[in-house]
Amino acid sequence: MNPQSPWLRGAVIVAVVFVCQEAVFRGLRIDGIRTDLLLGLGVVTAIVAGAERGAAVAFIAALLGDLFVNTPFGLSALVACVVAFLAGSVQAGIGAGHRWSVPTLTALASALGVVLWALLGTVLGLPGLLGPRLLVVAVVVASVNALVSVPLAVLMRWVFAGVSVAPSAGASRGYVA
Amino acid sequence: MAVSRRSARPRFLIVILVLASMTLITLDLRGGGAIPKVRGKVRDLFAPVQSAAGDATRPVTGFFQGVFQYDQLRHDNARLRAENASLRAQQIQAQYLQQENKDLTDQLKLDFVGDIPTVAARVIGGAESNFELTIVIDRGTAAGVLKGMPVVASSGLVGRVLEVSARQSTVLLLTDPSASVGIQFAPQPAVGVATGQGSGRALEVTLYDPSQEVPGASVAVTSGGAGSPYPRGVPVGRLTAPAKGPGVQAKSLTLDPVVDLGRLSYVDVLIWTPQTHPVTTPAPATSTPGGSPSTTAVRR
Repeated sequence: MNPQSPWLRGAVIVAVVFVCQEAVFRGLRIDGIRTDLLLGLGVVTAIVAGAERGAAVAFIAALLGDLFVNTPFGLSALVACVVAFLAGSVQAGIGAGHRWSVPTLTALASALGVVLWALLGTVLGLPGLLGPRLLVVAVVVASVNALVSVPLAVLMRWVFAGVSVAPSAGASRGYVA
Repeated sequence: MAVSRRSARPRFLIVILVLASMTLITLDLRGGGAIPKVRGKVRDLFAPVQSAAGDATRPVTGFFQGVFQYDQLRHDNARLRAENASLRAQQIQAQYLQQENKDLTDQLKLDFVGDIPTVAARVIGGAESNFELTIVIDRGTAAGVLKGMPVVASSGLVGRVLEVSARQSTVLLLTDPSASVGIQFAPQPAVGVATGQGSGRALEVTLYDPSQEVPGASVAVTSGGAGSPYPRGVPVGRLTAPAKGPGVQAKSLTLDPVVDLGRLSYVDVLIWTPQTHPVTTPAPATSTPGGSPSTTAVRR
């Protein structure tokens, strides 16, 4: 495989973030709440590289994360790809050049992801997800992901360097000739 | 047309991803299949990395934990000082209490672990998600641990094994909302079910006979029984609801777990299953209209 391939670079970044999430930062909790870097990675990818790529990265990253939890396999992947796609679409709608769009959108999308996960989990029969703590979890995850979105954005821009990012979510594909 | 096709592709992709996710969720919820095996294998493969990374980064994570939990540490420090003073006073009563405890234990046959073999395990991680109250321990099927086995600490019940792989297991804590355990108050005959209410919250108790009253400082133990996932007599919690007169009204019963589930370092897995250790349902001194006091646990 071409080492310059954005998908190979992307796989490396996903692997690194996955190791960070499940090993390096595994014990790091804020008020007992774990960070969700894998969700953040997918959202940031969607913002800087387009909704399509973001959804794919978010799906794969969250699916890896699903291997380590005891909740329904694929639930995180479902939420992450939908949220990343929405974030990428919103970013395409507002256009580039907004300095705070990456951390702001990442925070909003991450919070939405946490809430959506809890809602779907409740629908699937998981008890005790909807409560005051859900908001705390959403705020903590959103805040941390907003912080890490800046370096993640740099990484994902490097991953997809030379690959066109279309102004609309619908056209976010293809390589520059 | 070209524009239309381009704009349709991402929607097509997201539809594919959503459908793939829903398929995986459905397969997992149906049970069996390859997903649990894959999860177990991946966890086993990744366990050494997690362990090494955890050891290497413990000083850093410990520092941040200290920063994020500064108020908690101050509170704990003050609480421990108060407890220390209280313990000095309680030491005077220790001999009397020891004898009383022995008498009560003999009376209720609270052998706790008794001759059940155990496997000591180190807690190597907390919950992998923010919506489940679990811990990860460093013993799995290679050490004889099986899904559903009870897990205890020195002072009482911790939970039961939820998922197990060769080298590690996930333990569902008592306080998880999906966990419930059949209980019996000592030395009163009242039996019921204690259900988790979430992190840091007391267990909610439902008595089979709501007319029964339980003294304010009662300790609840597992009631055991046929098919129960827990052996009889393992301490579960202490009654926390304020006493009214001679007893507490059943509607307001809550239990504070006897084990500090937030600070577990080592636990013991009881090599015990209802199949290998069939037990008879203890004959309660009162009627149990709600049915057998056997324990139940909702599968997550």
